[in-house]
Amino acid sequence: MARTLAMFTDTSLCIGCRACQVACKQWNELGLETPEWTGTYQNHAHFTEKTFRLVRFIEAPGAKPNGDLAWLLMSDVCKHCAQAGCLDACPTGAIYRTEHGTVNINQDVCNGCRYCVASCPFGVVSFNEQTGTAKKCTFCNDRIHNGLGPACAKACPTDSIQFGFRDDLVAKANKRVETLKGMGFKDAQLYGADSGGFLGGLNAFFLLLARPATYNLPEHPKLPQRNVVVDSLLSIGSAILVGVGAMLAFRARGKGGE
Amino acid sequence: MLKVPGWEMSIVWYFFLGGIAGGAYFTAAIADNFGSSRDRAVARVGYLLSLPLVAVCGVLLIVDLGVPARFMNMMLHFKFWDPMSIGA
Amino acid sequence: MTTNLIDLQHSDVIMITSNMAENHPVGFQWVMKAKERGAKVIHVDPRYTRTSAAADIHMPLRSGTNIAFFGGLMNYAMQKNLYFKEYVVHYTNASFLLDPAFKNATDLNGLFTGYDGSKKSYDRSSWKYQLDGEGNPRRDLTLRDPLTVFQHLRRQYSRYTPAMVERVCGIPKAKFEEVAQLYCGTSGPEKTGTITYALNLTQHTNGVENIRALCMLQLLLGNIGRPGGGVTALRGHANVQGATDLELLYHELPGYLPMPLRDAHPDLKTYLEKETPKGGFWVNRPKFMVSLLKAFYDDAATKDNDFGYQWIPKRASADAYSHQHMFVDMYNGIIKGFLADGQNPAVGGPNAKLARAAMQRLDWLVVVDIFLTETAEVWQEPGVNPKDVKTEVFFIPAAPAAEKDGSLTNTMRLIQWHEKAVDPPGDVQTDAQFFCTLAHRLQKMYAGSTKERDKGFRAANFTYGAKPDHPEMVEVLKEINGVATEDISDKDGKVLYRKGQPINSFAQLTDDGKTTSGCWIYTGVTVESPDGKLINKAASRKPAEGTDYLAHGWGFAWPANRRILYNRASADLTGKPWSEKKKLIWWDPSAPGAKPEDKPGKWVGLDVPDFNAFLAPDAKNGDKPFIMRADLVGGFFGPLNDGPFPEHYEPVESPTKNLLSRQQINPVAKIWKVPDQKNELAPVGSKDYPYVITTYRLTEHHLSGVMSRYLPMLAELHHSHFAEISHELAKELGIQNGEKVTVVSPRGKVHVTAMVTNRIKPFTIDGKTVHLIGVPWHWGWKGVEQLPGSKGDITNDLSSTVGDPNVFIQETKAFVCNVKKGVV
Repeated sequence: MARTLAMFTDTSLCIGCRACQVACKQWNELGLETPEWTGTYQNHAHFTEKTFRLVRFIEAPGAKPNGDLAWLLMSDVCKHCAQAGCLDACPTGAIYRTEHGTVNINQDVCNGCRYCVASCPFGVVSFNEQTGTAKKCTFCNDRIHNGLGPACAKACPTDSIQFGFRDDLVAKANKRVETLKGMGFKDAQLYGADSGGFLGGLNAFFLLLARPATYNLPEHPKLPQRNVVVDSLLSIGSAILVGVGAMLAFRARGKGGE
Repeated sequence: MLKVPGWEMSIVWYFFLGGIAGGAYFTAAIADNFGSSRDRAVARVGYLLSLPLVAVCGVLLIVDLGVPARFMNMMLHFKFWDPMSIGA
Repeated sequence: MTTNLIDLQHSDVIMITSNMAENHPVGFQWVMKAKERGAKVIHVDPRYTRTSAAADIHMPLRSGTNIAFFGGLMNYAMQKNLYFKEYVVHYTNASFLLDPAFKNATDLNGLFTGYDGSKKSYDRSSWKYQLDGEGNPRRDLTLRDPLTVFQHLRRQYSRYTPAMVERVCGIPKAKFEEVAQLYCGTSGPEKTGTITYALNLTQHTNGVENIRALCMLQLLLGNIGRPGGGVTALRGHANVQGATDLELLYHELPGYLPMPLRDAHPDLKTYLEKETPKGGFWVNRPKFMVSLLKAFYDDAATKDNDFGYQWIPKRASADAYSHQHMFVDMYNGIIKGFLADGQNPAVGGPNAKLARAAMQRLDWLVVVDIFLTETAEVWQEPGVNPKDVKTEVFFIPAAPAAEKDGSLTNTMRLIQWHEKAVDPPGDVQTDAQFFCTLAHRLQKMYAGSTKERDKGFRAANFTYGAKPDHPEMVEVLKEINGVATEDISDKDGKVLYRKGQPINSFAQLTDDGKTTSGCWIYTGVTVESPDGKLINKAASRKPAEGTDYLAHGWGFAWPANRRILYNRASADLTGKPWSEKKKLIWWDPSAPGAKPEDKPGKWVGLDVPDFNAFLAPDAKNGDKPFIMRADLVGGFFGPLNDGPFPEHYEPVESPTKNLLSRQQINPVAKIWKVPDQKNELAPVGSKDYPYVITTYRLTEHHLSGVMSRYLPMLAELHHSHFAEISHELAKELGIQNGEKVTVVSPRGKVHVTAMVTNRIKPFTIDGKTVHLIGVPWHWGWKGVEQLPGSKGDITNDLSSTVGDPNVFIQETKAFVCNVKKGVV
């Protein structure tokens, strides 16, 4: 098993230029897409079947160290979770984990059931009507298997998106958080760096300058499938109850009828 | 944050008809095993209803797929913890 | 820029007055690196942009009040003794005594001595130094004499107090003082700061004075020529620096030589006499001018015919030929034909409605571009009946950068060679091919001419390499560099250059016709190896290594590969760096001299000295770093058409009267009268146009949109043409985020989507609320069919035809408008 690869997106270095967004589209030949009005520079509210890297623009009054307005800029992407909801859900096995730890959707196997779309705690996976399959960031699967890093990391002019081995990046990220805290960014924190944390850690993890909720990220993401266990038990339990009831009813009828 | 999977009318009908099929079979089985001769009609109707309905449900599910021709892929892969896999 | 982007990492404080993160994202990495090293970043901009997001402090100031701001900082520095005294005394003209007849704008309520209201110009005869018996400026090194430049500076900016800055710029006093303390703290030997600017300072009727004010502040703080200091001018286009160096401009010839005036410069001798100063490196102007003429006309240029001086066009007036002049003349029918090469004035120029109307009156229009632009289809302007447009339009498809070889000169004067990735398709030509082909055909047409004035053009060479219409760009670069026209030997008879060899250094250019040079500042970019191979230094790609953090092996920076200009100023009078922390070059007394027999001693260090490398600090002029100025020192007092000191004037259209003097606008600003009400201007404090509007660029689009709105991947990044409006103004007007609104000015109107944001806040100007809106200008009626948002109205329909009196640049950063709900 090769060492796990990761992308570390340090939002403290992001200038919101969208080079990552465009590089991803260009490399993956994602084609023409109509933008949405979000009220900000952000051109889609969420990931789409043709937008795998999405820069988010969040105005956060008071969030700068000196109390001024902050404009939080975050290049969001598929998290390539160690415990991936999409991978767990996929009934065809189209979604698999590569030897590098990244999560990819095999476009030749996927039959477009969209179960993965509902199973991602971050809403990353999207359905492409034209291909009939589910789509998301591939971690530039072709590039990483040819000695290159992801297109977004390559394009980023400030090295906000860094690519490398996960353990190296986590060590760097931890140091960076300390530096930022020293500069007055008291809410600076990593999101998904801890492999003992939620979802077993994210292979595309982030440095945020405010709490995850400010970025519309779930504070404690978990696999939506976890809800299924409880609900399934309830359903099965109900079925058993109804079944027992029916049994008794039919038996009573039978007895009563004689 | 979460995304809607876009399961529309074919899936609505699938759940509805599937529920009927399942319920009909279940009721028929109980009537068969725990009921009297009077309940034989119930059992027969139940059995007769469920099979075609299950077939229809299968078709509905296949039609809903993005690439219907690939429905077999779901059969080649089983995840016991996964409702969709179980369902398939 | 006088410095180098890579060097920004060494700043202690970076004051960004432009929108660097959005418009220079790659260069911005060095600001990020500076932050890593503990630098503080201040962003001074009316809008909170992506640069503000990365800055430590965002300080909004009202558009058009830059001189009030810089003047306020200079006043603060002088009041609090936060200036670098030794540097100021020795390296600037602060100590020079001025003619007692000269009075500054504090003395004269907004004007300087010599203003003629009827002519709208200054008689500058009193704007001069007192001279001693030998003709040198008299000085008071204590800076106490009231007639010193320094004391004049003090008085000039005495009105620019923090309280005044608050009233005029809308910057709260406490915040201004916080920033002033931080930035002026970079004065002195141990710290340096740099200030960035772009069109935020240039596009005003006091554009040049804005930049002067910035430069003066940097001189006061002793930041010029030192690591992490300098003036960071950020050019707005990949090769606009190259375009400026090679003078695609009306008023200069390649290499910053003045374009001759017909009446003032009837012959070469008069031109050279009048335009060659007595001191500073420009004493060599004759060598550069003659070498340029030789580059133009080769062997046809000889001593006997003034090297062809009579063949180059002369200006009829200094007040003519700029972009704005041209379009007014075009509208008035004086200009009949127009060739627009890679330019889209239908969208990109000020008062775009006038520009389009002007082009629709031409007899012929040639557009060379990569797409069918709005200019290329100017007869299809929405609302215009094509039958009314008689212009014959030719469209020549052009090759974009990926299909062309050539050099690009970026904002840090770095010339980098660029190789094409593919050939242009079909018979599409590169610009160089187009112009050479055109020139050859014209030469054929004029082959039989006997007119004297055509001789030069007929003699000029437009063939570079084996194929006449297919120039080899390295040969063009070599011509720009310059070559020997015959064998050149030194006084001992040793052959320095054989005929045709490229010249290594502009110091070896001559005024006797033995050398050519298409642009003397580029000399040295191509050299010849000992075995006769042409070395193109613009193509070298050795990355930064060790102490060579400036990467001298990567490309070629003009002049002479000097990366930081005026770097002599990084060392003190003895040649030692002002501080170890901020060392750049220093005098090494034991290094060998130029020749074995010379006294030892040389300037050495981390950069090529922007100075005579062998001139000792204690020799004559060894302590004068500003070699391009006639008096060799930095200029606090520096005559421009509108004054020797920058003075705050309100923009031509303004919501308020000038609080600093009774002179409302720049007294010598150029305001064109255009018929048919095509240049109406709002009066001061107009109730019909109560809001300040500033126009600007975004990262995702490029200029008039030709290189971005046709590409789906870029065009989709912004939903539609928008205006940024504060919550406060939106509430007043009942506008919701995402609604369509109409922005109106006296010249035109545009319909845009309202982006209501916290990032724009109203200003309090002299106690009254003044709203400001921002509108990017990238949109036009062409774009991607499937993306309606890639098309939009033309923001420049709102701007006017007014100009700075020195260079006639437009005032698109600060004027007035109104905003109406809905599509009106």
